[in-house]
Amino acid sequence: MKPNYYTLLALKTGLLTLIWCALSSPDIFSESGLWDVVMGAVAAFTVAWLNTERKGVYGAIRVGQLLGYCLWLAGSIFRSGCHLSLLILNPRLPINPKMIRHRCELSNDSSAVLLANSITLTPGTITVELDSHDLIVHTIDDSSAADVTDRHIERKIDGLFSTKGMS
Amino acid sequence: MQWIDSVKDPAAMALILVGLFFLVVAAIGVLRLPDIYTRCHAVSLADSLGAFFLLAGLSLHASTNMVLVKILAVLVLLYLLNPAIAHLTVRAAHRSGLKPWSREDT
Repeated sequence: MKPNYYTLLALKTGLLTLIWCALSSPDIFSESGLWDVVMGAVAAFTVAWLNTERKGVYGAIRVGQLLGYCLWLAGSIFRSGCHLSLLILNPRLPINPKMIRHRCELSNDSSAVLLANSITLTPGTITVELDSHDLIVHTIDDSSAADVTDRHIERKIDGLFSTKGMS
Repeated sequence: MQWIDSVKDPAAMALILVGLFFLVVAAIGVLRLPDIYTRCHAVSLADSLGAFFLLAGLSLHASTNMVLVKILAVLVLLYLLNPAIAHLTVRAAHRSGLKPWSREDT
Protein backbone atom coordinates (compact mmCIF):
# COMPACT_ATOMS: atom_id res chain seq x y z
CA MET A 1 0.00 0.00 0.00
CA LYS A 2 1.46 3.37 -1.04
CA PRO A 3 -0.68 6.18 0.41
CA ASN A 4 -0.79 9.68 -1.04
CA TYR A 5 -1.70 12.83 0.89
CA TYR A 6 -5.48 12.46 0.67
CA THR A 7 -5.73 8.78 1.55
CA LEU A 8 -3.39 9.37 4.48
CA LEU A 9 -5.53 12.30 5.66
CA ALA A 10 -8.70 10.20 5.32
CA LEU A 11 -7.09 7.26 7.15
CA LYS A 12 -5.95 9.43 10.06
CA THR A 13 -9.34 11.18 10.30
CA GLY A 14 -11.17 7.84 10.28
CA LEU A 15 -8.91 6.31 12.89
CA LEU A 16 -9.14 9.33 15.23
CA THR A 17 -12.93 9.44 14.82
CA LEU A 18 -13.13 5.75 15.71
CA ILE A 19 -11.02 6.34 18.82
CA TRP A 20 -13.23 9.31 19.73
CA CYS A 21 -16.37 7.18 19.38
CA ALA A 22 -14.80 4.34 21.35
CA LEU A 23 -13.85 6.61 24.23
CA SER A 24 -17.03 8.71 24.42
CA SER A 25 -19.49 5.95 23.34
CA PRO A 26 -22.19 8.34 22.12
CA ASP A 27 -25.81 7.27 21.68
CA ILE A 28 -26.05 7.77 17.91
CA PHE A 29 -29.84 7.38 17.83
CA SER A 30 -30.46 10.60 19.71
CA GLU A 31 -29.90 14.03 18.27
CA SER A 32 -27.28 15.13 20.81
CA GLY A 33 -25.37 11.86 20.33
CA LEU A 34 -25.25 12.48 16.60
CA TRP A 35 -23.79 15.93 17.30
CA ASP A 36 -21.13 14.26 19.46
CA VAL A 37 -20.01 12.15 16.51
CA VAL A 38 -20.05 15.11 14.10
CA MET A 39 -18.01 17.32 16.42
CA GLY A 40 -15.61 14.41 17.00
CA ALA A 41 -15.16 13.97 13.27
CA VAL A 42 -14.49 17.70 12.84
CA ALA A 43 -11.91 17.68 15.65
CA ALA A 44 -10.32 14.51 14.24
CA PHE A 45 -10.08 16.08 10.78
CA THR A 46 -8.45 19.21 12.20
CA VAL A 47 -5.84 17.22 14.08
CA ALA A 48 -5.14 15.00 11.05
CA TRP A 49 -4.92 18.02 8.76
CA LEU A 50 -2.42 19.78 11.02
CA ASN A 51 -0.31 16.64 11.31
CA THR A 52 -0.05 15.53 7.69
CA GLU A 53 2.65 16.92 5.45
CA ARG A 54 1.28 17.80 2.05
CA LYS A 55 4.61 17.43 0.28
CA GLY A 56 5.81 14.48 2.34
CA VAL A 57 7.05 11.44 0.48
CA TYR A 58 5.46 8.31 1.84
CA GLY A 59 7.06 4.96 1.26
CA ALA A 60 5.05 1.84 0.73
CA ILE A 61 4.40 -0.53 3.61
CA ARG A 62 3.26 -4.10 3.09
CA VAL A 63 0.45 -4.19 5.66
CA GLY A 64 -0.15 -7.94 5.59
CA GLN A 65 3.52 -8.72 6.04
CA LEU A 66 3.74 -6.15 8.84
CA LEU A 67 0.95 -7.95 10.74
CA GLY A 68 2.71 -11.25 10.21
CA TYR A 69 5.93 -9.70 11.49
CA CYS A 70 4.13 -8.43 14.65
CA LEU A 71 2.85 -11.94 15.38
CA TRP A 72 6.30 -13.45 14.85
CA LEU A 73 7.83 -10.76 17.09
CA ALA A 74 5.27 -11.51 19.83
CA GLY A 75 6.32 -15.16 19.72
CA SER A 76 10.00 -14.31 19.94
CA ILE A 77 9.35 -11.83 22.79
CA PHE A 78 7.64 -14.63 24.71
CA ARG A 79 10.46 -17.11 24.04
CA SER A 80 13.27 -14.79 25.11
CA GLY A 81 11.17 -13.53 28.05
CA CYS A 82 10.97 -17.08 29.38
CA HIS A 83 14.72 -17.48 28.77
CA LEU A 84 15.46 -14.27 30.71
CA SER A 85 13.17 -15.35 33.58
CA LEU A 86 15.09 -18.63 33.87
CA LEU A 87 18.38 -16.68 33.93
CA ILE A 88 17.11 -14.42 36.73
CA LEU A 89 15.72 -17.30 38.79
CA ASN A 90 18.83 -19.46 38.38
CA PRO A 91 20.72 -19.40 41.72
CA ARG A 92 24.12 -19.17 39.93
CA LEU A 93 22.91 -16.18 37.85
CA PRO A 94 24.64 -17.39 34.64
CA ILE A 95 24.64 -14.04 32.85
CA ASN A 96 27.40 -12.81 30.56
CA PRO A 97 26.53 -9.21 29.63
CA LYS A 98 28.29 -7.70 26.63
CA MET A 99 28.15 -4.58 24.49
CA ILE A 100 28.19 -5.69 20.89
CA ARG A 101 28.60 -3.53 17.82
CA HIS A 102 26.35 -4.57 14.99
CA ARG A 103 26.26 -3.20 11.46
CA CYS A 104 22.83 -3.78 9.96
CA GLU A 105 22.39 -4.34 6.25
CA LEU A 106 19.06 -2.62 5.71
CA SER A 107 18.37 -0.27 2.84
CA ASN A 108 16.46 2.55 4.60
CA ASP A 109 16.10 4.41 7.89
CA SER A 110 12.59 3.20 8.75
CA SER A 111 13.76 -0.41 8.67
CA ALA A 112 16.75 0.45 10.87
CA VAL A 113 14.46 2.13 13.43
CA LEU A 114 12.09 -0.86 13.35
CA LEU A 115 15.08 -3.18 13.87
CA ALA A 116 16.34 -1.14 16.86
CA ASN A 117 12.81 -1.09 18.30
CA SER A 118 12.36 -4.85 17.88
CA ILE A 119 15.73 -5.55 19.47
CA THR A 120 14.79 -3.41 22.49
CA LEU A 121 11.35 -5.03 22.79
CA THR A 122 12.89 -8.50 22.89
CA PRO A 123 13.86 -9.18 26.53
CA GLY A 124 17.61 -9.71 26.93
CA THR A 125 18.72 -7.24 24.28
CA ILE A 126 18.59 -3.42 24.38
CA THR A 127 19.73 -1.03 21.66
CA VAL A 128 22.09 1.49 23.27
CA GLU A 129 22.98 3.63 20.27
CA LEU A 130 21.64 3.81 16.74
CA ASP A 131 23.86 5.81 14.40
CA SER A 132 22.44 5.52 10.87
CA HIS A 133 23.23 1.83 10.36
CA ASP A 134 25.58 1.09 13.24
CA LEU A 135 23.93 -0.33 16.31
CA ILE A 136 25.43 -0.81 19.75
CA VAL A 137 23.43 -3.48 21.52
CA HIS A 138 23.69 -4.54 25.15
CA THR A 139 22.99 -8.27 25.52
CA ILE A 140 22.60 -10.18 28.75
CA ASP A 141 24.01 -13.58 27.70
CA ASP A 142 25.43 -15.43 24.72
CA SER A 143 22.12 -16.80 23.46
CA SER A 144 20.50 -13.34 23.37
CA ALA A 145 23.63 -12.00 21.66
CA ALA A 146 23.15 -14.70 19.02
CA ASP A 147 19.59 -13.40 18.43
CA VAL A 148 21.12 -10.15 17.15
CA THR A 149 24.22 -11.42 15.38
CA ASP A 150 22.57 -14.17 13.35
CA ARG A 151 20.50 -11.45 11.60
CA HIS A 152 17.17 -13.31 11.48
CA ILE A 153 15.24 -10.20 12.63
CA GLU A 154 16.88 -8.21 9.84
CA ARG A 155 15.89 -10.72 7.19
CA LYS A 156 12.25 -10.52 8.37
CA ILE A 157 12.26 -6.69 8.30
CA ASP A 158 13.98 -6.41 4.92
CA GLY A 159 10.84 -7.14 2.90
CA LEU A 160 8.47 -4.86 4.87
CA PHE A 161 9.32 -1.47 3.39
CA SER A 162 9.94 -0.79 -0.24
CA THR A 163 13.10 1.22 -0.78
CA LYS A 164 11.49 3.62 -3.23
CA GLY A 165 10.53 6.99 -1.79
CA MET A 166 12.26 6.49 1.53
CA SER A 167 15.21 8.56 2.58
CA MET B 1 -22.47 -20.07 24.05
CA GLN B 2 -22.85 -21.24 27.64
CA TRP B 3 -19.40 -22.85 27.76
CA ILE B 4 -17.59 -19.61 26.92
CA ASP B 5 -18.96 -17.98 30.08
CA SER B 6 -17.83 -20.90 32.21
CA VAL B 7 -14.33 -20.85 30.69
CA LYS B 8 -13.85 -17.07 30.68
CA ASP B 9 -13.23 -16.41 34.35
CA PRO B 10 -10.70 -19.22 34.97
CA ALA B 11 -8.86 -18.24 31.77
CA ALA B 12 -8.73 -14.61 32.89
CA MET B 13 -7.46 -15.71 36.28
CA ALA B 14 -4.76 -17.90 34.73
CA LEU B 15 -3.57 -15.06 32.47
CA ILE B 16 -3.43 -12.62 35.40
CA LEU B 17 -1.43 -15.15 37.43
CA VAL B 18 1.06 -15.61 34.57
CA GLY B 19 1.39 -11.82 34.36
CA LEU B 20 1.98 -11.58 38.11
CA PHE B 21 4.64 -14.32 37.84
CA PHE B 22 6.58 -12.29 35.27
CA LEU B 23 6.21 -9.11 37.36
CA VAL B 24 7.62 -10.89 40.42
CA VAL B 25 10.50 -12.31 38.34
CA ALA B 26 11.23 -8.80 37.04
CA ALA B 27 11.30 -7.44 40.61
CA ILE B 28 13.69 -10.21 41.67
CA GLY B 29 15.80 -9.40 38.62
CA VAL B 30 16.03 -5.72 39.56
CA LEU B 31 17.29 -6.78 42.99
CA ARG B 32 19.73 -9.50 41.86
CA LEU B 33 21.29 -8.16 38.66
CA PRO B 34 24.57 -6.26 39.04
CA ASP B 35 24.30 -2.97 37.10
CA ILE B 36 21.92 -0.55 35.40
CA TYR B 37 22.23 -2.14 31.95
CA THR B 38 21.23 -5.61 33.11
CA ARG B 39 18.55 -4.20 35.42
CA CYS B 40 16.98 -2.45 32.44
CA HIS B 41 16.51 -5.90 30.86
CA ALA B 42 14.53 -6.97 33.93
CA VAL B 43 12.40 -3.81 33.90
CA SER B 44 11.53 -4.21 30.25
CA LEU B 45 10.57 -7.83 30.97
CA ALA B 46 7.99 -6.50 33.44
CA ASP B 47 6.47 -4.33 30.73
CA SER B 48 6.63 -6.60 27.73
CA LEU B 49 5.42 -9.83 29.33
CA GLY B 50 4.13 -9.06 32.86
CA ALA B 51 1.88 -6.16 31.95
CA PHE B 52 0.90 -7.86 28.68
CA PHE B 53 -0.50 -10.99 30.36
CA LEU B 54 -2.07 -8.92 33.17
CA LEU B 55 -3.91 -6.71 30.67
CA ALA B 56 -4.86 -9.70 28.50
CA GLY B 57 -6.46 -11.30 31.55
CA LEU B 58 -8.24 -8.07 32.46
CA SER B 59 -9.56 -7.70 28.91
CA LEU B 60 -11.07 -11.20 29.10
CA HIS B 61 -12.64 -10.22 32.39
CA ALA B 62 -13.88 -6.86 31.06
CA SER B 63 -17.64 -6.54 31.28
CA THR B 64 -18.25 -3.96 28.54
CA ASN B 65 -16.69 -3.29 25.15
CA MET B 66 -15.73 0.20 26.33
CA VAL B 67 -13.38 -1.16 28.98
CA LEU B 68 -11.96 -3.58 26.41
CA VAL B 69 -11.12 -0.74 23.99
CA LYS B 70 -9.42 1.23 26.75
CA ILE B 71 -7.34 -1.78 27.84
CA LEU B 72 -6.26 -2.38 24.23
CA ALA B 73 -5.28 1.32 23.98
CA VAL B 74 -3.15 0.93 27.12
CA LEU B 75 -1.48 -2.16 25.60
CA VAL B 76 -0.64 -0.37 22.34
CA LEU B 77 0.79 2.63 24.21
CA LEU B 78 2.79 0.33 26.50
CA TYR B 79 4.37 -1.47 23.56
CA LEU B 80 5.24 1.83 21.87
CA LEU B 81 6.69 3.49 24.99
CA ASN B 82 8.49 0.55 26.62
CA PRO B 83 11.34 0.24 24.06
CA ALA B 84 11.71 4.02 23.80
CA ILE B 85 12.16 4.46 27.55
CA ALA B 86 14.44 1.42 27.97
CA HIS B 87 16.59 2.71 25.11
CA LEU B 88 16.75 6.27 26.52
CA THR B 89 17.71 5.09 30.02
CA VAL B 90 20.49 2.86 28.74
CA ARG B 91 21.72 5.45 26.23
CA ALA B 92 21.94 8.08 28.97
CA ALA B 93 24.00 5.67 31.09
CA HIS B 94 26.24 4.87 28.11
CA ARG B 95 26.81 8.51 27.18
CA SER B 96 27.69 9.50 30.73
CA GLY B 97 30.42 6.87 30.58
CA LEU B 98 29.10 4.16 32.87
CA LYS B 99 31.05 0.94 32.33
CA PRO B 100 28.84 -2.14 31.90
CA TRP B 101 29.44 -4.96 34.38
CA SER B 102 31.06 -8.01 32.83
CA ARG B 103 32.14 -11.50 33.92
CA GLU B 104 35.83 -10.78 33.43
CA ASP B 105 35.93 -7.90 35.94
CA THR B 106 35.01 -9.98 38.96
